[in-house]
Amino acid sequence: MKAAGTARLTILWIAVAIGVLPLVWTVGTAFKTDAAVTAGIWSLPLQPTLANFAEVAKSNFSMGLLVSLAITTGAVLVLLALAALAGYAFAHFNFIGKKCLWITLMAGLFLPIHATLIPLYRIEADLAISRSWLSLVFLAAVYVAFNLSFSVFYLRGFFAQVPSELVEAAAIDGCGSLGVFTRIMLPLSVPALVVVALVDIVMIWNEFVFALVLIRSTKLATLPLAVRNFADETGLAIPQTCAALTLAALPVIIVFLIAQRKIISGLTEGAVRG
Amino acid sequence: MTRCRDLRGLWFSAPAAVVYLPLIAIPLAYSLYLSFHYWDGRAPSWTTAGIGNYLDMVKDKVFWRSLAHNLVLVAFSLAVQLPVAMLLAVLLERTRRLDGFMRTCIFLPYVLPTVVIALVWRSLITASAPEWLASPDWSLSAILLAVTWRFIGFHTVLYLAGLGMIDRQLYEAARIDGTSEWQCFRHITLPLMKPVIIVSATLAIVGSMKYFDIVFLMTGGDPDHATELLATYLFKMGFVHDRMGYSSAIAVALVVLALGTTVIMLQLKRWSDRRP
Repeated sequence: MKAAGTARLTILWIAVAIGVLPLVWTVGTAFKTDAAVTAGIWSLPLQPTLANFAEVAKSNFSMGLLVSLAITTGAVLVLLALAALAGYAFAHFNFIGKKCLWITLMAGLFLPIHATLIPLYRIEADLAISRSWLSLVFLAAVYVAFNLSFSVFYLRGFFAQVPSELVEAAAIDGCGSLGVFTRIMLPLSVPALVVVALVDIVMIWNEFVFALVLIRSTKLATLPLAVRNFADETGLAIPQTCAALTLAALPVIIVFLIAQRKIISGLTEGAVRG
Repeated sequence: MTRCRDLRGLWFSAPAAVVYLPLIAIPLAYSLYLSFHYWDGRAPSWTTAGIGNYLDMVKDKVFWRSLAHNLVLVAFSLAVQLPVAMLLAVLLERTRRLDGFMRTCIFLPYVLPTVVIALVWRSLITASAPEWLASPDWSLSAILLAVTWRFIGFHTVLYLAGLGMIDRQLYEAARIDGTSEWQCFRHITLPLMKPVIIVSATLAIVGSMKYFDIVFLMTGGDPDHATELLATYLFKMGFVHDRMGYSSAIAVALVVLALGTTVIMLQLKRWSDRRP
């Protein structure tokens, strides 16, 4: 029995090590000089330097941080509004085309989104916004569209649990359906909205390929793009790249550590129930 | 009355539809249309190709190679990633101390930006074994490593959620009967976990079919297409070689594969739900 416990813990600790070691290595290497990296890639940064971080700061990185912050905030707020309205509609009303729209929306969960790359690139080119800040608005709209499927799905599931007696009682008290939505549904659904917001934040903050195709100006690069550009410009110089990676991973790791229960349940429970 | 109710539902769902349809549904239709044409991405007009792009695709060795790599990814996630995730979930389930910490560490890679994941592994491999990524025979294994690193925690937590829903008393009853651990797992856990396993397998298969980011950022499909996937090949054809029609044909194939797999897996799930 004791041997089984030891074996169990050994396997788990190995898994933990594999999960964390590449990140620990990255952070450690970020504080090393080029010479220290050449001397031994696993050596500890005994004479830590901030030079690599200074170099990252000189690049487009901080602009990327701001761009990503703006685009994520905007997209997530719009997403929450649209998804809450639609989730309410799918949970409590019958309407023409409901099933059709639902299937179309849910297909988005499994769709290879890369199939929309060329058309979206073309639409953006036709709008002649590829080099202006409007391309960021377009990208944000694309992010809203791509995350609607999950968000509507999750919120519909939540709204469906609100007893219809409550809705009817409020309607008798003179609440219109919009009143029921704002005064009953929204306050009740705050926990679900938080989960959806967190998942969408992670998804949008991390997104890479659509930013790559739709943002043509390096000045408007989102954080993931800025990180890649920086790595390319330095020719994947190891300690400098590691510094950029450390800074890029930090915000997500902090958000994850603060709200991990909600993020994990949002990312996985939706899948299990579906 | 019914008519009035219809309108309310429409109003509430309209904003979502107005964003979703033009940015997803219409581009998909556009891709389908474009796949029957030749276009270099710049010329003002397209030339009709009929099924020309699809014929090119069937004859294109790199297309089949890319598809094969996608299938390797599928096979690896089903044969290695999911069983290991199941093992970790079962072990974590029984751990009382530090289980939260362990779960956090195992899940963490999943929430990182794919740029970070790809470049962490690229840096690590470049610094320790630079020949690995350059080797036509071995570079795909580096991709498998990074992809597994990213997703294994996700599946582990999925299984943990499933394990949490199993009635403990079943195990206690089995233990009184003297059933071994393995038999418990084989005859209680696995059958009850079937719906969760089907969900996680669906996500793994569909995810492997449409995978892009890590390969694009780690190897770009190189060396000599040794790590090329359908999605990276589609990207290259469209945005590097200016063959928008051909790229769209690959995109259509990808959509058919992914949605076809999804429908089959959902049928499988419905079927297994009906007879538990």
